[in-house]
Amino acid sequence: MNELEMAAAKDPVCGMDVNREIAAAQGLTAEHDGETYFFCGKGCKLDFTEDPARYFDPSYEPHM
Amino acid sequence: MTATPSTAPDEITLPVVGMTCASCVNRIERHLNRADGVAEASVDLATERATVRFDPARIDRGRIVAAIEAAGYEVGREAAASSATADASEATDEAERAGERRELLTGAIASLGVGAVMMAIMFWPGGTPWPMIDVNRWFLIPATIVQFVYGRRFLVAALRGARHFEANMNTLVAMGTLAAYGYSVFVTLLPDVVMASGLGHETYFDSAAIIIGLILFGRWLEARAKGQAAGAVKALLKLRPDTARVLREGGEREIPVDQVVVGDLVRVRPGDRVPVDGVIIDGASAVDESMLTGESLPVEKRTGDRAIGATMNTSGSFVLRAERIGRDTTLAQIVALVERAQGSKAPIQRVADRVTGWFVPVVIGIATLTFIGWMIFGPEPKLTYALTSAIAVLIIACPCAMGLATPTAIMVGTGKGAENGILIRDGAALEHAQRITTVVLDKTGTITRGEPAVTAIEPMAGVDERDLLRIAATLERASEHPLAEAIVRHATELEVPIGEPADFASVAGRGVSGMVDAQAVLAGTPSFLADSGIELPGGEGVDVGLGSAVHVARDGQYIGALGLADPVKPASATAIRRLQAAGLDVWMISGDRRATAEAIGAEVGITPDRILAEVLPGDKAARVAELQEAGGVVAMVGDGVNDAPALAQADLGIAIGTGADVALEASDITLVGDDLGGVPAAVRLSRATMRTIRQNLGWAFGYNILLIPVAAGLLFPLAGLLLNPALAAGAMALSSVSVVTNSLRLRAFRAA
Repeated sequence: MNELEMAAAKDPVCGMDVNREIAAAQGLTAEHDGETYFFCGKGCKLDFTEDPARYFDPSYEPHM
Repeated sequence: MTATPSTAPDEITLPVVGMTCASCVNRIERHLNRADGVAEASVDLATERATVRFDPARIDRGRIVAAIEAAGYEVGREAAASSATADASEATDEAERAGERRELLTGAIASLGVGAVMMAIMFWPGGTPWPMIDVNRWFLIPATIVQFVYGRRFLVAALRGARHFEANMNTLVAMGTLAAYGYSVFVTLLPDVVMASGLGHETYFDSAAIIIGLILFGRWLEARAKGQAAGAVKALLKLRPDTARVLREGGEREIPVDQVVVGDLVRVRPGDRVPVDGVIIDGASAVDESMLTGESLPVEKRTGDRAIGATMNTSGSFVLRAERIGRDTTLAQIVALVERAQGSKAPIQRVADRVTGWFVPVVIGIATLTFIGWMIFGPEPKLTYALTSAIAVLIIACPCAMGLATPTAIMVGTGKGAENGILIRDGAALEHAQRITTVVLDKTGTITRGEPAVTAIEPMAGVDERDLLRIAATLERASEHPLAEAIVRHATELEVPIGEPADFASVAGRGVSGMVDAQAVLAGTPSFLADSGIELPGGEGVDVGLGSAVHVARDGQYIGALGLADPVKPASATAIRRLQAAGLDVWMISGDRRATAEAIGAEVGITPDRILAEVLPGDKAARVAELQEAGGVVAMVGDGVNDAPALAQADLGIAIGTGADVALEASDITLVGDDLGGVPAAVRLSRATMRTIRQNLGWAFGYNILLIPVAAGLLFPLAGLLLNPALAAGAMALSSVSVVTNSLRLRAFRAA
């Protein structure tokens, strides 16, 4: 596993690979059920915090 | 048409800052479409714009902006939306510059207008029909507006400087105009005191207004010219395509180029711009790289080759695996490099800065002396002469032309270089390039291609040339030796059909054998063939000239040989001749045997006494140092990887053909193209730029040295010549404009 992959997390909303460090530095994270989620941008973060349950539904498909 | 709405729908486009992915797009669209009165909203991530059709009776711009902000995003400044720019801050900068230009022009026109009306009234034909005391009172308010509203920038800057005990050109403008304005206010408000002291009622409100107007006008011209000089970077950014066709999970989708990630497979169709840097994994085409390298012919690309983002695909189609995206792409690096170079200072600038540093205090001193001189020796009215002359000195001496001389030329020069695939690291590199006397060219990969190619095909009598190539290529395609690859490539280029060999076997360092067309074939060294009982003509086989030979036998018979060598790049000889014609001492450095190096030298016009052969890679820097000790100012041209120490040792390091790695630290100049053509062009560009800088500085200094005494009134006793302050302001503005225009002339530079 290289450095990039280690730093990468999946944005639960859009499905993009997000660099954890960069996202954390920009405040693009959210806590849910004790787990930290990382986002590519404000849009995804806000979508997530408004209705987190939606993104844990197995039928939810990330849209780019 | 459906039901007619109460009002026709309106449409606006707003720049949106802060979007990162398609979710952002959806989110903003959702918020907008939910807003009452919005008919349709579409948001584009690539261009960072939201286009909204709305009913103006139900919603206005402010509420649309509020909806976007409610979604969590900001709306940028109106003019900021631009798909060409790399990021939002860039666009905002440009909008600010445009706003600044508008402000300058408005201020200039208003101030000049006010000044012109005042002059018209004061110099009314046959004398002013109104008493001067009244006229002065009318002028007071417009003059105050010009002085403190349009002229505010000079006062603020002068004050800021004064706090640090620094005087700059703003100090001169502020002092000059404030003196004219202040004296005029005094005359206007206290006419009785003025009368009593025997002074006239003349005021200089018009001069102050015209000075401020002209200098603002000069700054506007400057700002406009600077915008034009920065055009090279903008032109580069426009090359970036907005979208890419990505193959993900079996499907092919067109997505914004920002969303391409490393490892994505991107399809490039005929006529497309390559969206990102990557390696071709399928397909082949010719790619026009002229926008980055200056190389006019399209470059053939096939599987395994690199394609550079922003270059133009011609007729073929291919799939590439994205390797560099966003700020890592060659294009982004080029843009960053050019921007950094354009903002950098050349050493010559430091001289100009130092001079400007002491220039302003000296000018203030001269103005003071002028004032005192006129008060003591001048004719009546003493105060009038003293004041106008001192103001003229302050105004004419504005060193803005000096401040502009170097940066404008560097900006145009480096931008022009980028257009021609010559990336100049900074102003210092540009200045050094014109001082070099000696150019050392690395042989392999610089003068030559750096990889073997078939240079000769020598079939025996009765054997067809293409047949010999076909047999050799068919056998060698199973081998991975560089010479084998060169033979196969040559056959492919000549469209010679290559078959499938059988029973392939290879003996390292000697040759290969196998079955082609059901006949036993051998290819390799003379001894390899001889060991298999083949009889070679002359014992050594046919002569193929310099380089390596691959001898071929079929069915026990010698049928000919292929000659392979590292060929000279087509542009090398011309480039070397141009460098020699420019008066430069051209050397070649190589690790090859002297005979090989001399043969290449003969081909490109470098005599044996200028060839450094059999130099180990680690010794190249030392040989460069020797040439420097001998008094040469040396430029070293190499690939920038193996030659990095030599490039760093040289006075000017030029890296060539590094393709994607444009931002090499070892090199002062990087040529994006892979041939030597850029070297003489770089030298000529450097010479042209430095010539422009010297002209600019000469013009700016000479102008000040000549006109300050005139403004001070030294010519008055001799010729009755005195500079009116308004005229001085006009001359001053003109000198800045002429310097900028002179720099812009560099835009006519042609690399070839």
